[in-house]
Amino acid sequence: MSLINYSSREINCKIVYYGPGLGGKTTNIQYVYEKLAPETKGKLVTLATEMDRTLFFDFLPLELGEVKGFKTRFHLYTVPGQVYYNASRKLILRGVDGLVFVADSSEARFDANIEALYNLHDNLKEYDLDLKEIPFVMQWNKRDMPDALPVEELVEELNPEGYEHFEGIAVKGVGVFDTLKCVAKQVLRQLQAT
Amino acid sequence: MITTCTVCQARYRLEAAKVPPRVLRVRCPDCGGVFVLDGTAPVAPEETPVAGLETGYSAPAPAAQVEQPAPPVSAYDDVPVATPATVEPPAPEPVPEDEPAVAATPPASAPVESPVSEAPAAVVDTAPAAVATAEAEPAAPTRRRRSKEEMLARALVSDILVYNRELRDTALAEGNLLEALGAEIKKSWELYKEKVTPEVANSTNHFREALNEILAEGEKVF
Repeated sequence: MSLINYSSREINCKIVYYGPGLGGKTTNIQYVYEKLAPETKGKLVTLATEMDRTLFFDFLPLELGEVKGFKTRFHLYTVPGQVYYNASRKLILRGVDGLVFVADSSEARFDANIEALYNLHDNLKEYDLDLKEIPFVMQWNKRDMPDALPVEELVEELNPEGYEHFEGIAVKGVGVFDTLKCVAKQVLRQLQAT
Repeated sequence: MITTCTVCQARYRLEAAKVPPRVLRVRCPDCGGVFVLDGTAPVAPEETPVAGLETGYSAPAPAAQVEQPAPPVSAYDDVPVATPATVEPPAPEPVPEDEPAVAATPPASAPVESPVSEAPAAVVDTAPAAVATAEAEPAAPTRRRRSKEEMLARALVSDILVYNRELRDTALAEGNLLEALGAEIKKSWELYKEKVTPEVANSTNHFREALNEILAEGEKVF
């Protein structure tokens, strides 16, 4: 649900990076942040709480095109990935306009990917949302890991619905902007249609 | 040849021809423990018939796997390879892709009770100069059949590992996993119980199995 700011003639869109802990969500957003021109971005905000490790709350506006005379400002968020921190995840999902699921390709994190995906569905349901109706992109991150599962297997197991997806090595920036552009495009398309 | 799991004492028959003439690390299909098998040891005569261990037996259970060489350590790495204390730091030789598979055939039910030759284990104790490894077979895609509860247990335990990797490594080496990670484990167990209900949590072994397999690298610590 995008927020419209009439005084600045801006539409604010919220894109949330979801996925298992230490899967690369924050790395994605940090890479995007580093590459953007300073004048197009706000402050990168990190909220660390309790364990002082996973509870990042990244805020990053990035301007892209116009919709019906309004500029679009994207706000990128990550959620804490650890299974344990669901309350924060649920809160951050509120008002989401687009979702990126950053999966960890490592075989060792296969179950964590599945659990994160279940959790995403469950949390969306609490807001009466359905993944099928939200702009959504998946990223198979950490393709450089020695125990990375084949992409075909990840797709088969995690993406039987056939959502758009990209391979990624977020630490090197591989796939980061492809993923973001894809979800941003879907969000804009949805905005145009409303 | 017959080999004995040094962890749970289960015995397995291996086709001697398929065992590379090197010292191998083998995962026991029964207890998940990793033990050392010396492929260079002379094959002991199998004078005692071992019920249920016929080589032609087609087992539904996963076969014992010979461990892969430990890959370079990285921040994300989580290959569950246990290193028994008795083994020298492995200096794996490159293993060709077409290395013949080695797999112990698991027993039909419980491990056999009858005594068999202890020769392979004895040779292992002489400290091998080099530990070579070979792949037994591709990892069975058993994860596809995991229940939602099992997935959750494994995800929770996997979280403990990835967020506490150094601590875990040290604790595993020093044998005090429970002391070092007790608080984290308890927190995850409480959440697990809450999500799957205490009845399900207590009547199944998923959480314990995940702890042993993922956190303890196959050892029965929990």
